[in-house]
Amino acid sequence: MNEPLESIYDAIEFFEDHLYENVTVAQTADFIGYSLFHFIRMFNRIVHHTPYDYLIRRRLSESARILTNSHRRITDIAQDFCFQNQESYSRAFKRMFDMQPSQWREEAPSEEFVLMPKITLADLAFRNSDFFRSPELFIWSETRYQGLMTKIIEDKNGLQEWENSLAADLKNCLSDVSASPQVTITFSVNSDWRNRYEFIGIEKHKNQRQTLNLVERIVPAGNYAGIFYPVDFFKEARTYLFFTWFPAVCCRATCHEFFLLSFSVLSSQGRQLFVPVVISEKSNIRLKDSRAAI
Amino acid sequence: MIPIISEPRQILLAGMSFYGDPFDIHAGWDEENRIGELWNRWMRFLYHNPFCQNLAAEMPGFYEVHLYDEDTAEKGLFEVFVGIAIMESVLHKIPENLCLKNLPESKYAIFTLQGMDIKSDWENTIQLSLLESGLQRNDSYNFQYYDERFKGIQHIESSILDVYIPIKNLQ
Repeated sequence: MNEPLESIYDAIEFFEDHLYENVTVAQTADFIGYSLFHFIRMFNRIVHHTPYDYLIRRRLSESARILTNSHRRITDIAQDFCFQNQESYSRAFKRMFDMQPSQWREEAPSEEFVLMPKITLADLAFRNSDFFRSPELFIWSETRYQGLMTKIIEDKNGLQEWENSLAADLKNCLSDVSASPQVTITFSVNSDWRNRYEFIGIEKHKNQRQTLNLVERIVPAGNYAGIFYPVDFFKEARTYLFFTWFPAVCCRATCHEFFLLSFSVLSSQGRQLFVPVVISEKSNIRLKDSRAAI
Repeated sequence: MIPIISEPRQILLAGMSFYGDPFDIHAGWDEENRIGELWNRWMRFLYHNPFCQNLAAEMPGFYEVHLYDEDTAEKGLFEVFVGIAIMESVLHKIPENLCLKNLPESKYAIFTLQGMDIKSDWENTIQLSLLESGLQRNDSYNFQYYDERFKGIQHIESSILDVYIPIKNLQ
């Protein structure tokens, strides 16, 4: 671990310790022994957020949790998180979540992949590794896959084992012994990431006969954000995509028909995670053809 | 790092500016951050404006001024201005798409940075040096002065620039 990375992580911890207290960017720079100018440059370079943007997004995310889980008045929550008044809190809240705090409290939407988590050391390691490449937006053509599917019960340590086991079973089912699983697709039954199914498959070409013991799944045509990741950094790549890149390029994750949440493709260039997105009119990022992705 | 203390001087500048976090789009040591974009915008303007080219030739050297306000400490936002020094007599001829900065009469502590020191946290080093020298800085701005000694960001090892810190008084 290099020294700037550790120092910037100390700054993140300092922010986390002061979500409920007034703290300035200059005080945080001072805490880690950097000048303000150097701190702003290094924080942006390592975290890919401005320091103030990180602090505000974390405060808003924690405040949203409290909105859902308590009956505390909105004006008090705004004050707890150091917003000048309820108006400035509501404005910032709407900018981040596209709804007012009162609406959030009423609807209590799923918090996963909406509320920005604390950035971890692993997140910083991923963002500053040699293999990190900035995500891109792609227009994807409808693609059919055949393979095996399972329900994901636990998302902590066991995910890779599920994948390996499914991939091994799939290889046994395929008539072409040289074929390797190419795609992992994550579906849900109700657009909720907590309740999801994992599919591992290979592309099914036109007029190809369906293998009886395999299921067919479709990746619908549409716009997808793609990011490369090494297998040990799936979670960090997803966090980067949802909480750092999407806000920066004015787009957000969406849920396609059949509740496809994301899919990963293994190609000669490595593993790439794709998430269906809605692109805001404000975005000026260019879309690439999906053939460029793989 | 020991500074040279200048005589009091007032500096009038013409150029372009940016306000915000200059590294919000790109934080590398290259021309892709907002300061780099500002320099590119300014140089493009200069290239197409013979009158300002003449002004730049009369008083050689470029200035990059960082100006701080109440949002700087709290949010990390500040103004960056790049431009050239001008005489008061040409004020009325300055094109309308340029901004003017009048840096009030002040003594300056001048620090010369060389090579990789330019990429270091020199603000911190300078701050320590000022404290050791008993100098009190004016926190509202400072500027970097670039002349023929600066060879470009790609040749930082052989480059030299001066950092000017306005000082209030000698204790």
